[in-house]
Amino acid sequence: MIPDWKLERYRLGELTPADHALIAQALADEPAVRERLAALDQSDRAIRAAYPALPARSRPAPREAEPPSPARWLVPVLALAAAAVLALVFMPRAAGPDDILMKGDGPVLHLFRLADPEHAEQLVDGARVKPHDLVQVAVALHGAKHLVIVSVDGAGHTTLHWPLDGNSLAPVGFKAVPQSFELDEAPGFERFFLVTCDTPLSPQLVLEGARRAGRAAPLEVPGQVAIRSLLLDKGSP
Amino acid sequence: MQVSVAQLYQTYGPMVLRRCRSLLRDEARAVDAMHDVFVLVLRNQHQLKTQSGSSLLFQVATNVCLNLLRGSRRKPEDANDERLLQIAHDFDLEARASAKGLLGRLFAEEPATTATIAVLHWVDGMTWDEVAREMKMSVSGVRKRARGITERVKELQEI
Repeated sequence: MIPDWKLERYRLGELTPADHALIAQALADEPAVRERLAALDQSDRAIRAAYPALPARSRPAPREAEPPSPARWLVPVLALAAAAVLALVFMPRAAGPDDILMKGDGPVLHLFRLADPEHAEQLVDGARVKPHDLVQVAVALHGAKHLVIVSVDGAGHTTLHWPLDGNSLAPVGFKAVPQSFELDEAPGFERFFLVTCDTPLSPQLVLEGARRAGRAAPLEVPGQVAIRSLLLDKGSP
Repeated sequence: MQVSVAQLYQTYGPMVLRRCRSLLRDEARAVDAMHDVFVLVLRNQHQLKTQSGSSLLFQVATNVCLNLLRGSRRKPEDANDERLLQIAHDFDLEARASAKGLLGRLFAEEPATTATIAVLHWVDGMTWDEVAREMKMSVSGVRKRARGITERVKELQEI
């Protein structure tokens, strides 16, 4: 009996030559194997019709790892398909105040409000938001090797958005945090920071700096770093 | 070469969803699991340089589903499903004891979980050689880890 995983890989052309030959022989000899292959073809068509693009998660993802103290996590919601997240970063962007200070290309921070998995609104610096809005963080790293993304709210609570596992090294092609975040009830503001560097960064130091920076002060992080920030206005406390 | 999620999904989406369906036996949970699998692979796509897409996605899907099955109270639908649920439950303790995060466990900077090895061998019917290739481990390493697998799983294998 040929296991399912081998048939799958046969169809994808990713079997070893020896296994490939065995399956090819079985296909020639056994009608039942041909039927299983035809059933997989049919299943492919049905799945592609039902889910033409990677579907969004229907419910919050389980937490992956303990966040570094004293970070607070907003409610993580995998609300967007990763493909859609990637598409978002190619939308025309609005410049924030930190962008204006930039000379030439450099890392850029983008924020989007997700009305639903297919509609996203880019948020400019100072944009009005409300509790329970879903916010997607995206970046253009322009060659930066390491990054940390954090935010601080009006109550002084900080949130680590990236990295999730403590390693600041940017994954190849990194363009967006894979999770969107639901803003909580904390009043005043949520200010996001993107910190990039060519050497490893300490998420903990960035979190502490963000807490000190609050709404308007510069973020101070040791090292040769580039810092971008965008503030979302949640109204009067 | 950088690979987009859309490309990966086009090629491997159906295979991954079938894998998640077969382990979770629940369409909504399988679709959520598929989403997690592609997000995780997106974040670790450098591994595609050293591992075929089908192998990496199959392994990540197995791990994602095992994590979802831990603590699951659904009733097994057949003997294979019973073995799978037994493995997921038995190794819940192993997962809880791990001080490392989920990503570390999923992406092999650390040794593969015994539960994954157990599923590949006892549920998917891979030989030890095939499990070793899949997990990028030596056959002796796989067998060594397999020795820790509980008697209950072995008993289920004999049903």
